Formats: sequence, C-alpha cells, structure tokens
Amino acid sequence: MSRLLFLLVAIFWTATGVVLASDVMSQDLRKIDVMLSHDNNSNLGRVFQNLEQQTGLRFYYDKAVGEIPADGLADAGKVNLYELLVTVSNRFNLKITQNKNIIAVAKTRVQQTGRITGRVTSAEGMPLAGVSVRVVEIDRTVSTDQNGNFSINVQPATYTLVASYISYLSQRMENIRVEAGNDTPVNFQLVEETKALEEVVIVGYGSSSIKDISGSIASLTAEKINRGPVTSVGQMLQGRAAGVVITRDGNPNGAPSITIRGTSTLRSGGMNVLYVVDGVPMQEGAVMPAPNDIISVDILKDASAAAIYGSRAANGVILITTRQGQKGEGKYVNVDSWVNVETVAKRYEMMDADEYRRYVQEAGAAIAEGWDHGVNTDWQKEVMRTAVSHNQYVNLGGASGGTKYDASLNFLSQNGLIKTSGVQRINARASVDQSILNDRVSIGFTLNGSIADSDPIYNQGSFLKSMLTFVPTVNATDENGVYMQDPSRRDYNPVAMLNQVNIDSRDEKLFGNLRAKASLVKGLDYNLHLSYQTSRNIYGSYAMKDYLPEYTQNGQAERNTSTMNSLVFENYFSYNTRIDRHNIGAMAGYSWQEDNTGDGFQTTNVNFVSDATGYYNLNLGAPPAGYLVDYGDYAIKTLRMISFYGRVNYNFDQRYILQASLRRDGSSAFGKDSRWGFFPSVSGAWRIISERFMENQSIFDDLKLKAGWGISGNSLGFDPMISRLRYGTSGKFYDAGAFITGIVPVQNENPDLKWEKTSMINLGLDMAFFDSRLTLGVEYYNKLTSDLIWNYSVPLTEYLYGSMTANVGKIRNDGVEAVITATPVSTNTFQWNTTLTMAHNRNKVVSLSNDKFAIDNDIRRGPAGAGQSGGSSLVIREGYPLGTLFTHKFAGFEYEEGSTTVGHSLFYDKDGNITATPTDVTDYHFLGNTQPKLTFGWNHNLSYRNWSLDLMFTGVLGHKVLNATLAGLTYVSRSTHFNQPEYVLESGQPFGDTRSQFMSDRYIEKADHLRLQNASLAYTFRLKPETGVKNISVYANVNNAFVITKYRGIDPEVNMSGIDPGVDNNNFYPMPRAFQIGAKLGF
Amino acid sequence: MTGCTDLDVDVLSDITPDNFPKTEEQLKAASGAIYTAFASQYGGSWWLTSEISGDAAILPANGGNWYDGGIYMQCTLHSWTPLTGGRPGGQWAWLYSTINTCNSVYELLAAAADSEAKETAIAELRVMRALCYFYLMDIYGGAPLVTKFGDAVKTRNSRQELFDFVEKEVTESAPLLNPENDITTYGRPNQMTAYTLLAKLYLNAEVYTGTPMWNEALQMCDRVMAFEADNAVELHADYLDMFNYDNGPRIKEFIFAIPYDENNLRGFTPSRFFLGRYTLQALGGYQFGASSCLRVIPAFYDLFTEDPNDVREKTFMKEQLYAEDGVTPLTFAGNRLSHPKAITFVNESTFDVGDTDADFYKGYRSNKFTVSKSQPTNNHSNDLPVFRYADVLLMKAEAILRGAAPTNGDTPVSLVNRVRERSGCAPWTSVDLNRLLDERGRELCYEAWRRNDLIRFGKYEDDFMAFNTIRKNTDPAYRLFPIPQTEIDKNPELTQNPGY
Repeated sequence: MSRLLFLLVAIFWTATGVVLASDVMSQDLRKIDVMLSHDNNSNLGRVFQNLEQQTGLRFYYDKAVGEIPADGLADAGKVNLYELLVTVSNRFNLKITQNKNIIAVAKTRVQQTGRITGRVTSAEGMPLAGVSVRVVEIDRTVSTDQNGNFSINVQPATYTLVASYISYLSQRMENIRVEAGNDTPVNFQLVEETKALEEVVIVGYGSSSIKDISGSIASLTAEKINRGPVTSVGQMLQGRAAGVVITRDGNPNGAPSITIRGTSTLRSGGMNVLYVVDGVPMQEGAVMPAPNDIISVDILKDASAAAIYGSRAANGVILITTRQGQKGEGKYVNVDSWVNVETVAKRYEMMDADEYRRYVQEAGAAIAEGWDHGVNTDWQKEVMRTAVSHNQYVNLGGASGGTKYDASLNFLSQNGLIKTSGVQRINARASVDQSILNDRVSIGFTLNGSIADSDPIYNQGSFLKSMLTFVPTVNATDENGVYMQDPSRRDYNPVAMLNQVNIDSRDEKLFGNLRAKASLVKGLDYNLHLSYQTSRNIYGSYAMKDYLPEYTQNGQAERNTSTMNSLVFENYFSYNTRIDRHNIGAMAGYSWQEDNTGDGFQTTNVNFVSDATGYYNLNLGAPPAGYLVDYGDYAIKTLRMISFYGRVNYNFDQRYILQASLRRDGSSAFGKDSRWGFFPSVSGAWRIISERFMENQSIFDDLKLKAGWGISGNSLGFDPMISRLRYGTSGKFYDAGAFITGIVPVQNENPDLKWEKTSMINLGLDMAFFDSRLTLGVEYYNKLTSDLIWNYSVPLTEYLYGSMTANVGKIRNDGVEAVITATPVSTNTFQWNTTLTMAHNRNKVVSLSNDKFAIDNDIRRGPAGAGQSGGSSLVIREGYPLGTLFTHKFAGFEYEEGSTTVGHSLFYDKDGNITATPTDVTDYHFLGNTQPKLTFGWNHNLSYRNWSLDLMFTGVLGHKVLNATLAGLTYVSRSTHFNQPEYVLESGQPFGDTRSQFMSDRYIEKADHLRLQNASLAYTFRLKPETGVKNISVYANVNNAFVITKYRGIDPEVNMSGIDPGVDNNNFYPMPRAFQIGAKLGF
Repeated sequence: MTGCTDLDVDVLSDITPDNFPKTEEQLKAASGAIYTAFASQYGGSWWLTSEISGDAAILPANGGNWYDGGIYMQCTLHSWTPLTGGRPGGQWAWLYSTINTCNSVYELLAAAADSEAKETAIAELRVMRALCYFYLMDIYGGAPLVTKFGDAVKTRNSRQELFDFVEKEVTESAPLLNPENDITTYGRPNQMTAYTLLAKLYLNAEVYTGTPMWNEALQMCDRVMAFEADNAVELHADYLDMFNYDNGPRIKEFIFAIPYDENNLRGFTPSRFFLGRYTLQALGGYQFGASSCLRVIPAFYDLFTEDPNDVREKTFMKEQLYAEDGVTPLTFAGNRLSHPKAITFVNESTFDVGDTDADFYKGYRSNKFTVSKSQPTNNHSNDLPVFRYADVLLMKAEAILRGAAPTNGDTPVSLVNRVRERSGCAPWTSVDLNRLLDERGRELCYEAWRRNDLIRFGKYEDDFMAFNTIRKNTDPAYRLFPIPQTEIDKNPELTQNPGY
C-alpha cells in the first residue's frame, strides 16, 4: 500500500505542485509510525497536535490550515508518518516541509480546481444517502447526503470513481475528465447485493464465486428471470438458459416440461429435473416458493456440477434460493400486485355454418338428420372467454441484532381461457434466522405452505376435440333446454361437456426446513438441514345425469385423496483455507431421505336421484346390483435413499482450479443386488486471464477454459417396488356362485435393476471483452446414458410375468451452447443490456438391446388416425434420434372419374409406388425428426432514466412437428356430422376420403418460430427518503405478444420432452396472449 | 451405525413372496388366476378371430374406421401374415400366459399339504393346461411343451407330441375330477369336461396327426352321455333361454362354460360388435353403446331357413327392427331402423361398406347372446359355453357317420334329431356329413367352434363371399395360423409354419 501511495505522489508531484521536503531527514520520517484514533482528528490542527504528542516533532501552521476538516483521516489507524503527511499534503493541497524536527505546513498557492458532482441512486431510482464515493487516484472519499448527492473538488485530471455502500455492489466509473472551473456530473446507480448474485453461484452443498466455477452452471438472478404473469418455476426460466428447453401450453393447471441437454431416458416418469430449494431436495409435486420469493436460480447442467446429487442428477438439477432476510440492520416491506387479462392468441379456423353447409352440399351429401337448425354457432367462442387473473403479494422482513426474518403471502387467482377452468392458490412463507455465540452458530427455519383449488377440465382431450368438431349448424340446446348431442356418433356438445360436470381438485402442501450452521474452528463449518414436506390432493368429480360422453350411469361421482410426504436429513462439513496462493476447500456429508407416496383411497358411486348434491354426498347414490366401486390404484409406497458425498476444491493463484466430487447413493427401489452406486466427477478450469503473459494484452478482460467429466444417475419417478416380484389382482373367477379375486404375478423380480447412468463430458470457454461489456461463453458437451430402463417382453415360459423391467439401452446427447451478453450502450441515463442464449443438441438412441434382453422390433410410438388401429407415427430405433417420424408418405389426391369433389388420398408404399390403400407400418417411410436444430432466447433490457423495458424473444429453428390435431380434425368422411377445418375448402381435399385423417407427412410441418415471449415496461418513481417509501414502480407486460411461424396449429411450441417429442395431438389447451399491469411498492 | 445405511423399508401395500401365498384361501386365489387368464381372451379376441376366419361373420370397415390395418379383412380372406397382430397372432400369448399360470400355480399347489381337495385342484389344473395345449395344437400346430415353471423350452414340439400330451394329461386327470355338474363345479373342469375334451381331440385326430380315431371319439361321447342318467347333464328345453344373460349353473346342458359377468368377469362382448349403433338407444334403457361392425354373412343366415319352425332363426336381428312389444317399429332420429341382408362394399379393396348411418346398418346381426339392461359396459353377463351337451350328441353322430361302430342304439339321425327337435324342427329321416355340418352351424353358431368344424370337414377354404369380387386365399397351409413374428423375435429358435 505504501509503495502505491508513493508512486501516486510521484506521479502527481508536478501536476499539483504540492511539495513535501525530501531532504535526507525525510528518511527518518519513514521510520516513524503513528496512531490516529477516531475521536480527536476532527480538523488538521487536532491531527497535528496529536502527532506532536506522539513524535516529538513540532508542527508549524497557521490557523486556517489548522481548521481544515480532517475528512477521511479518521480511520487511518496505525500509519507511517511519512505516508500520512504525503496524504495530507495531497488531499488538502498543502505544502509540507521539514527542517530537522520542525514540520512546516502551509497552503500552496491557489490553483483553480474542478468539481465532480453527482447523485447515487438504487437500481429502482431511489436516492441513497451515506454512500462512499472515492476518487481512486487521490484516495479521497466523500459521502452522499440525504438526497444522494455528492461533490468533490479536485485538480483538473482524469479520475476513476468508486461508489460503495453496504449490501450494494460497488460501482466503478473510469475516465472521468475534470476541467478547471467546471462541474463534471457523475451519477451512480447501485445494485443490491442480493440481486446481483451472479458473482456467487450456488453449487449444491455450498457456493462458489462464478470465476472459480469449472462445471456448467447457468446462474440466474431475480432480475434475469421472466416477467409477466409468471406462476411457476418453468415459466420463470423459459429462454433464459442455454440448453434448458422449456415448453408449456395455456392450461392454468398444466405444468411446463423442462428438458436439460436433451432427453436421456425412455421412462415417462424419469424426465423430470431435480429441484433443490434452499439446500433441500424437493419431492415431485411439493410446494414451490412464490416467484417473488425467489432471489436466484442456479441450474447444474453438466455431470461434473450435478454429480454431487448422485442418482437423481442426470436430468440436471435446479437450485432455488429464496429470500431469507437481509444482512445488516433495517426492515422492509414489499408489495406487488398485478392484474392479468388473457385473450386467445390463436384459434383453430374451423368452417362456419355457411361454409360447412355449402361444403357438404357441393359434395352431393347432406348434413346428418336433425343436425341443421339454420344457425351459425361458433363453439370455440361458446366455451372460451377473456380470462382475468390477479396476484397479490406482500412481503416483510428485516434484521435486528443477530436475527433476520422474512415473511410473505401470495394469493393468485387465475382463470383459464376455457370457461370453468382455473386455479386459486395461496402461498404463505416465513423464515427466521438467529445468530448466537458471537455469530459462530446460526439457526433458522422456513415454513412454506400453499393451498391450491384447481378447476381442471373433465375429459379434457375429448372436450378440446368436440370444441372444434361439433357442427356449427346446431344450437347448444333444443327448445326444452336439453343439450344437443348424439353419443352414438360421438358428437358431444362441448358446452354440455363443460356444464354437466363438477370437478374440483385441491392441493394442500407444506414444507418446513430447519437449518443450522456452526463455525467450529477457523474455516471449518458444519451445516444441517432437517426438512419435512407433505402434500395432499383432494379430488372430487361429478358427471351429471345427462352427461353423455362416458355413458354415465345416471349421475356418476368420484372422490379420492392421496398424500405424500418426504423427510430429508442433510448434514455436511465444509472446510476452506488458504495457504499462500493455494486455496483449498473440502466438503463431506451424509443424507438420509424417506419418501412416502400414494397413500390414499378412492370411492365412486352412481345413479343419483338429483344432480344438486354433486359429489358431496355419495350416500345419495343408488348403485344397481352388481355395481363395482372403483377404488382406484392407491397403495402406500416407501422409498428410502441414503447418500454419502464429498467434494474437494483446489485453486492455485486464481489460475488453476480443480474440483473432484464423489457420491455414494443407496436406494431401496433398486434390485437387492444393485442398491448402491458411486457417482464421481472431476473438473478443472484454467483462468488464462490471470497468467502473467496476459498482463500486457488489452483484448480480453476474462479468459477461462474449463473441462469436466462426471457420472450421474437417474432414479426419478420410479415405483419404489419396481425391482420386486409382486402379485396383484387378475380380475375375478367364479367359485360356487360367487366371484373371487384371483391373484397373479404382475411384476417380475429383477435383483440387478438399478439407476440409469449418465456419463458426461463438458468443455467450456469463457471470454470477456471491452471492459467486460461483451462476454461470450461457449460449451460443448457429450453425454452418454447407459443402463436405460425399459420394459422388455420376456417369454412367459420362463418368467412369471410377460415383461421385465431391465437396464439395457443407451442414448447419446451431444451439443453446443453459447451465451453472449453485451452492453452496447451505457451512459448515465441510458443503458442497454442484451443476452443471447443458443443451444444445439443432437440426440441418438445408441442401443436398445443386449445379450439378454431385446426389443421385439422397433418401439413404435405416436398417434395414428382413425382406422389405423395398431398404427404409429414415431419410431424409436437404434441409430436414430428420439422423435424420428416414421409414418405414411402422402402422394396427393385422386378424384373419382368425372368428379372434382369426391375422391381419396394417395400414399407411397414402401417401394415408392402410389397406392390408395397403404398398409400401416409396412409402408411407412422415415420422414425426418421432431428435435430442433437450434433453440434460443434473446433478451434485451433497456433503461432510460426512470423507465426500463425488458424484451424476451424465444425461438426454435429446424424442427418439425407432427400436427396430429389437424390430421384428426381433417376427417372428411365424417363431415356429415363433424365440422372440418376451414383450410379443407382450399386444399383440394376430396369429399368422402376415408384416409384424410391418416397420419402422413401431409401433417408434418416446419415449426420454426420466433416469439416475443414477453415485453415488460416499468416506470419507477423517485421519492424523497422522508416519505418513508423506498420505491414505487408500475409495470405493464405483454406475454406471448406475437409468434412468427408458418405452423398451422394453435402454437408451434409443442412438448419437446419425453420420448414422443414434437407431437401436437388433440390435447392442446389454447395458448393465451396475456396483458398484465401491476405495481410494486417497497418500504 | 447400521441404521445409517439401512435400505430395507416396510412393504405396506403390496403382495410379495414374503406374504403370499400362505393359506388355503390364498392358494385358491392363486389358482383362480388360471380361469381368469383363460377367460381373458376366450370370449374376446379368440371368439372374434375364430368367427371371422370362418363362414359365419364378417367385420368390414366403415370408411377409415374398423379398417385397422386390414387385420379383420385378412381374417376373412385368409391373408394374414406373421406380422398380423392381435388376431390371429395374439392367441399364442394368451394361451402361454394361461399355461404359465398353470405351471406356476402347480408349484404352489404341490407344496401344499396333501388332501383330496389338493388332488382335485391339481387335476383341474392339468386339464386346463391340456385345454390350452389343445388350442395351441389346433391353432398353430406344434408348440414348445412347457410343463414346469421356469423351464426354458425354446423349440417347438410336434403337433403329435402335443396331441399325446393332451391325451395323457386328460386321461390321467379325468377320474380325479369332480363328477358333479352343478354350482360347485361350474366354471371349472369336471369329469365330463375331460371326456368332452378327449372327444374333440379324437374327432379331430385325423387333422392333428393324420390318424383317424373315430371309435375313441365315440367312446368319449358315450362317457359323457352316461352322466345323463344321473341328471348331471341334459339338453336344455329352451334353446333361446340357454344363451340369455341370466344363464349359468342352471343350464345343465353346459359341460364347461366361461362364467362371464358384466361386472366381475368381463371379456365377452358380441353385442358390442353385432348390434346396431342406434338400436339400443331406440329400445331404451341400455347403459352401453354398440359399434355395429360385425355382420352375419348372408349365406350363413340361409342355413337357418331350412325349417320354418326353427327357433334358432329367431336369434337374428334382420330387416325392420321392433320394440320389445314386437309390433312397434324401432326408429331413430325419424328413421326406421332396419338391417338389410346384403353387405355391399363401397370400396372392396379396403372392405369398406361405407360410413353413413345406413351403411352401419348393412347386414343381419346375431342376438343369440341377449344382454341385460343393467350391463354398464359392453361386457356381457352371458356365460359362453366351451363344451355343451348338444355338441357331444352331434359329435357322436359324426363319429358314427365317419365310421365308428354305433353303440347304445344311437344312430346319427337319432342323435341329430334330438338336437333338432329341441329347437322345434321337423325330424330328419336321414343325415349325411354335409347336412350334419349345416346342423352344427345352426346349433353351435357363434360359439367359437366353426373354424374347427370347417377344417375337419375340409371346407375352411370354401369361398362364401358371393358379394365380393376379391377371392379368398385357398392355401390349405393357412389352416394353421402363423407363429407371430413378435414371438419369433423373442425366441429365434421358434420355426415358422410352412407356407408363411
């Protein structure tokens, strides 16, 4: 430090004209250390008196010099006298000379100075008082006043300023040019530390600085997650992280699907990612914090990062951190309130009544008897609405003494576009932490509960189809108010389907987490988590006496309830130390978890005397003789998982970073010979930027190379009894006049059954340019999942049951991801930040068979049209990616002789010849695949004075979607009583074609699209601190503002997860366009 | 410290080898699975496959519906392939699943303490297993003979070996079975079941092994007929009542029947296929819907016009339909409901009879198995006989016609006339094999034996599709169904039947 000061003095010697005598004696001054205490240095006179007492030197100065306030010297503590005098001379423009033991201090001749003035505000625009603003070159610091203003007089020169404030990130401004006699304005906008967690990444059982990360972790702070009427974690992340593909539909009761770096399992229950909230692995369906309570989300994408979560990490791990009170003193209240209006973004264009009548007539046919009332009913309009939702959020918190606390209440009322659908959810959360024993120990807990009342759509798939196909020429009801419908033709009235059913689903969830942390000795910490999660669903449905689609028995009621819970005990030691340039960290822990699922029951009854009581009084049903209650499939299952885990980190000189982890997982779900497994990982990073040879370059501000390898497992979504020989009911048999339940084996034992194993290599390069205003991160990964689990059919001559669940296949995913961030414009009033994330993944099924188990043929998947029983449209085959389209190839139409309206579809057979009667499977062709070449998200954040605008674009390129919905709607041989899509009129589609609905490449469409996912505009009011209001901001969002696509379906965003990706099949809840306004208040 | 690594959790809600089967009741529950397994396809997939590959019924397409890759069309035209799925290929898995259940239950029974009940239970099990091998032999020819659970028998035993196995197992078991034919034995094999099965075996011995065994067939029929003296078996007086939904142990004519139940034992669904789609609605009060896809082949219906008093003709729904009073014409949406006899295609190549409401009504329908209004789904409560006494009488007549020495004063014509007179037909004075086959058609229609009869009479390849220009495959190799390709893929040592 002293060397630096001397250097500064040398530099500014001539510039300022400040002189310190530097005769031989000054050497003696360098040998003297003095103490400056806090209270007696209010002005220079006091300082000099103090120095006289300590040193015996004599100070000569006039009164004016003695009264100069001694700003910034108060904290000097023990200093070298020479350096102190240099500082004083520089800071106060004094000439200090020494003659033996006399120090003379005089004002230098007056020089014209310049002034730096400015204001410091928070990101929300609130003035911040008491912020330290330091002029680096002259080491001079001033504080801002109540209005956040500051000013410093300095000599004309070029300076660097740093503003720092507790719990805010410091901000640095360079190249500030000060001219004599002029004011130079410099304004700071400080970002709260908690909101700027990009510097700190949560890595699972600990955290790390982002520059020390050697694995692949996408880290998102609250500022970088999606805005708008966001109600789930999936929605928050859509488009924000490269390689994290999220799709959803408009159903308020639906859950987005998340796939990280490609699908690597064939099991439908095994597709999910593991969520870890504040260090606790969450059970599927457990309560999630309200979006406003989340301060950061970290996504562990590669195995070297995720392997610490062992057998549940193969699909990636999403770590969620919630607000848990603030450090330091103070208290706060935040309010957020929004209203959201949803409209139908796009509807299926079906024929209207006139078009439909004309279409049927022109083909020489007639609308089914009694099915034309001379009206024009738009069924989509009849069952959909403009849906209004709102959300109210209140949060309070603070800190005092060693206690910090935070509590929030969130109420969401969301209506779906389809009448009667919606959800109301209340989410309450409280967190308290207490430090004791001189902050050596802290203990805290969080309680989070939610109650959600959902109104799903009964029989949704059938309903959505009826909404489109029910003919437009009939009224909803006849003159007696009876709904028009014809069950024998499966013509169900969509209005009746909504109105003749009561359906309610209530979820009650609770999560409690007790945590403790103790600093045992320097560097060694002990961490403990003890958490309990419980969720209960209570369901009731009643299909009224006249509800037709399921042949109800004169009123049909069902009630069920099920509970699940999870007890998690996690504890680990962590140790960090630094020896010279060696940073060493180690962590070791043990976890024990027991989940109980499926604890519940169901009962049903039929034949009610009145619809009035719905499902509330099952006792009123009068089931006919022999009626069997459907008890459902409820059975309590216990899953226990035990783990030992550890990790070591080594960091040499901020240049070489190494990390290795190992987890040993045991699970009761697996075969008795394969219950335990090891999950290792190793990774390293080379921070080239810190190398000596990089010191003289000016291109890079950061340059880091990283590489990692690890093995993780997938044991998610298993029936805990999966590996055992199990007996179940086989139906009944006759025994002397009565029926008795037969018991048969329903599952073979597989003592070798174990988790699916994913081994992944990750290579990455991080770069930053132009003062870090441009950063580029590129990663390559290659993951091979082996021991894929599938049900293999086995000969019944050897096995008790015809199929065997076994680890056999392999899937590979490899790909490239890139993240580019840039700040193209940054001035005091205007800032533009942009982030582009891109990902390309290549998926391939490597093998499906081994010596013992083999797939009979291909695994054929995907929907087929009416008349194609046993048909399929996708294939899972070795050497091909998931989502491989394998179906008929369309060859146009052929009209009957002399007709321009009647005819049939033509297809290519397996040899390429044209046929009207293709055979399913035999005549299928490979027609590409549904997995995209590129997924991207492009975010812009613009702020101008009090305004800020956030734009989030998402898009997918190079992917095909099987539009099975459109195929199902194009069912022209049923057009006398099924409405047809409008495009049929122009498509040349012949009437009477019995294969118009066959799956073929006629319905395989490019689904490339660009969506303005969200546009969010906010204005923040600047208020004086004395109002007691920290900030007020109002905002407006448009969600799903537009989609640019040629796709003909309702929305090109089709579920991309699972083994049937890219199929749009009749179950597509319309996507809304949402307009939201809201306000946030902070106190 | 062991608690830290203990992964043994309590199993609260599953039946595992730790707790099953331990008691006599559990053994019964385990052996009951044999009957459930057998019933699972007998009245469903097998019933439909055997009927539509014969001359009595056809399942055409309605536009794109019911085409289903041509699997039904292939049954009619005998153009099935090893790749044809559920029918006829699906019978293999059904029969082996049942055999395997028998083999695994055998292990459980053998371990139980000795008792008379155990002896009977094992005999019943062996006959059920033999019945499955009888069907494998009948449908596919040779097949791997697996008699012990866990034995990996990969290669096919010959048809002769299956024949010998069935003969031996049933012959040995017969004396150990219950002699009664009442509610206590209903749904399970009794002594008569064993003898009837042997009669079927011997009557078809020429087909199965090349060596006729007419006398042996006759002897087995006589064994069954001996029970008539004990009133254990009889011809039920009312033919139509015999197949009503409330049939059951009260029908003494049933020797072995599958006791289907609309709630408890589902799997028999002829009305779902046969009945008109609006008919049940027009009749009123029915809870289930019908598909209207299965039709009576006109030439087969013509067999029933031989005698104007034949009550068996009343099982058909034809032309104008009437309400239960028999006089009010049934209508739906203003249209009269009527089934025309002719089945006309709008597109022969896809077996498409058209997709309009009228098209759905083409063709006569069988309502032999009349259903109850309480039936909640399309599963019937009607029990489906596998063996019944009229069949035994006709088999004895056939054995004599084919050369067996007559016994007990029975002649072919006296035996056939017993069956005819029960249905109100005039007695014949003489009978030959052709007339006997027609009589078997009238008497046993839609009871899943027609395919077996046609093969034995050499008429399986006869073309009865006068209304169609596509000709049926006449290759006699198709008397055996192909081994399903899926099974060969699983077990490459299975050889395919010749001709496929």
